[in-house]
Amino acid sequence: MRIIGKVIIASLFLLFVGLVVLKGYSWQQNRKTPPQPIQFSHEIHVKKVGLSCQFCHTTVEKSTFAGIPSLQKCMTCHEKVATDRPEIQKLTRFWKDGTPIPWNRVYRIPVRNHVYFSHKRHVKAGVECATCHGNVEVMPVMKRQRELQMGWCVSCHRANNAPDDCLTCHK
Amino acid sequence: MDFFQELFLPPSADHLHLIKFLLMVIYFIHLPFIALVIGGTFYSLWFNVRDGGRNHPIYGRLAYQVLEALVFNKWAGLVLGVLPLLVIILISGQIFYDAPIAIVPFLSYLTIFTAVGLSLVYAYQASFRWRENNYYLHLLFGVAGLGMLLLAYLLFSGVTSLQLDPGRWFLIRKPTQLLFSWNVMARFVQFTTAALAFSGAAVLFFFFHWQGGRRGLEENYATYLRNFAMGTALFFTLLQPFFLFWNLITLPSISLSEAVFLLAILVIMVLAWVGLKLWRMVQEKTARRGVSVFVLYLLAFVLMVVTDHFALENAIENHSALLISRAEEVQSRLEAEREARRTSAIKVDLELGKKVYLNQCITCHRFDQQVVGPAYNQVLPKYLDRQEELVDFVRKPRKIDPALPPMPQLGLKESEIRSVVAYLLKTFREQQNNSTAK
Ligand code: HEC
Ligand code: HEC
Ligand code: HEC
Ligand code: HEC
Ligand code: HEC
Repeated sequence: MRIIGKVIIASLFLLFVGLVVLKGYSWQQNRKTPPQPIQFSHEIHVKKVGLSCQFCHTTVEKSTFAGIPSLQKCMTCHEKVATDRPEIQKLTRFWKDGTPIPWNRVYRIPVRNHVYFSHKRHVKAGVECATCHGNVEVMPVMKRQRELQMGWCVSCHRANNAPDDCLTCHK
Repeated sequence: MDFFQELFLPPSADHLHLIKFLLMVIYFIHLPFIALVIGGTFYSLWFNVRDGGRNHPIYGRLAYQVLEALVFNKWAGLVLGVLPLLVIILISGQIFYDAPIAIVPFLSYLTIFTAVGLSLVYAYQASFRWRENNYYLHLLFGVAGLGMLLLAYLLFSGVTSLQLDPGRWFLIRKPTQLLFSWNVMARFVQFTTAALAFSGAAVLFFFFHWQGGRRGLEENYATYLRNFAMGTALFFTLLQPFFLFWNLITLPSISLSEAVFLLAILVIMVLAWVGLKLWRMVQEKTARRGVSVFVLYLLAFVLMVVTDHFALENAIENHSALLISRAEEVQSRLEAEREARRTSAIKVDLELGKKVYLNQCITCHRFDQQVVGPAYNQVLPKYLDRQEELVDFVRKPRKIDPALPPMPQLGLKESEIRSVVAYLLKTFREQQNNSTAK
């Protein structure tokens, strides 16, 4: 009786230790924003250099996509600026090879095919970038701040009297 | 004037670290106490109802003694219950400075509920003196007090959970909206069951060990109390891993990190240890390991508080970075103002100007050719008689030529700006004079 009880209690707790380990493992697999090919810092370019978001993400007010800037845009400055740094030399190599930088996406709606999202509508409605992407100007590395789950989109729509029927987002 | 201005600033990095640490310490003082009050009141009411006002030799006495042992007295309620919440409000107001989260109002409701709940519990304790006269009013104090405290700590679970999910900060405006999420449920159930288990352990500690144990307990009374305390402590401890895990899987992923998982495992291990000890106590029918069970439970509370602390650090990393950056901005603005006031400091120094030009401007500008920015020879003529405008532009660059990238903010000191402007205009004039002289 005494031993059986002990074994049962110990295995109950061990079971949950195992479950926590499993959860931790799956979290680690999903979380990783893969490292970017170039260590681009929004903090330097937005806060220190003082560029506006639209300067690089040019289509954010005009289209569904915000758009990642082309290498051309970087080189308007970096042909001359900070050319002695290793990261910029990497940048220059991409430029000389004529290959676009293979940035890894940080924000992506999980089931993109069935969901319609448009930056234009939100930016025009006065929703700030920070509401959905966090305070980008203090990020040395871009990191995902929101999970982009349906419940989140819908609760903001309800709070702002934006349309919340299924066909708004599912086409 | 200066002094007051400098008092009310966004918190700096060091200050932020310090108050986050302080917050953790305060939670560690406050939460075990509230757990004892909730558990003590619950058990007391339980015995009280079984007694039914008939002064049963065991239940009637237990109803009073358990309450007295676990809720201490009203001064403890003030110092360990209400005051910590006031400090938590002050600290949270700073940590969430300028964040779109209604943290201070939510915590204020929480404080009011807790204060009222604790007052009712102490009124319940005092009303044991006239229990015979009005049994139901006496019970009502206890039930209302317990209900109020449970409501308060449901709200508390809601606030803690919301803090860990910045995506919802701006969406939650009313306290009732706080409560609808699985994470809040998990936290609340976990806290209340932990409170009941910890209170069981505390009964063992305070009746059988503290200062050598209570004297003059009759044999059957002591046996009943010991078995009851061991049984409830064991039962509610066995529920803990389930609720802890439920809490963990409903946390937003931004608040997770390796440390959070490791600490969660540690909490479960400590509780497993407690569970095994309690099981042996039940089997051996002694209260011998009561001290270590009580102390291990305190350790579990510490670890739970630290886990939440790490989760909070993860969740508000971005907001903290923003605060620190604001603090630095304010600091450098104050310094610039102070420098500007000391007139001697903004002496124009051509040597300094030359240095600034060679260190900073030359990356993008030359006199005779366009690099990143335009050639000076093209843009300086319009500033020849308007030196102040050029100082203004360097201090806060604007976009002028749409074909070129905007000029960065350079973060120069006022004296550096004035010196480099003087240097540029002087050099430009000299070059012009030279070329016309030729
Ligand atoms: C100098 C150009 C530049 C500026 C200015 C800039 N960005 Fe970016 N942004 C980039 C580049 C390059 C990437 C891709 C690399 C990365 O993810 O770090 C990116 C990525 C992002 C992403 C992640 C996209 C994804 O899903 O992978 C977001 C969100 C973003 N930027 C928001 C902003 C916001 C908000 C601002 C204004 C505060 C801003 N950016 C200003 C260049 C810029
Ligand atoms: C408006 C001009 C401008 C543009 C456009 C620009 N940068 Fe920069 N970038 C700068 C300046 C200025 C610095 C800061 C150099 C310093 O630290 O002194 C910098 C720094 C960097 C650094 C850090 C270098 C280091 O290791 O210190 C990287 C990497 C970088 N930029 C990449 C990019 C990429 C990629 C793009 C294109 C998406 C880009 N930049 C576009 C002006 C620009
Ligand atoms: C209403 C929320 C919301 C706002 C506001 C918002 N974004 Fe986004 N952003 C998203 C979502 C959702 C995605 C992922 C879209 C996808 O999967 O295609 C995204 C993706 C991006 C991306 C990468 C993919 C792309 O579209 O090119 C960039 C860059 C970006 N946002 C920049 C910005 C900038 C800059 C602003 C402010 C001007 C902004 N966003 C405002 C929600 C928002
Ligand atoms: C911060 C609040 C907020 C969040 C988060 C948000 N939205 Fe919106 N959304 C709005 C507002 C406000 C409007 C209304 C714009 C208008 O009136 O033109 C809108 C409009 C839209 C529209 C256009 C509706 C129409 O009438 O055509 C779509 C599609 C949409 N949102 C999709 C999404 C999706 C998908 C997400 C989640 C990834 C999301 N939104 C997250 C605030 C938000
Ligand atoms: C404001 C935008 C929005 C509205 C309105 C909306 N959805 Fe969604 N929905 C999303 C987004 C974004 C996702 C993807 C999120 C994810 O996969 O986690 C999604 C995912 C789903 C999925 C899961 C798809 C999958 O493969 O996992 C279903 C099912 C769904 N929505 C049904 C509905 C129904 C039914 C309604 C109407 C009651 C509705 N949605 C309204 C934005 C919206």
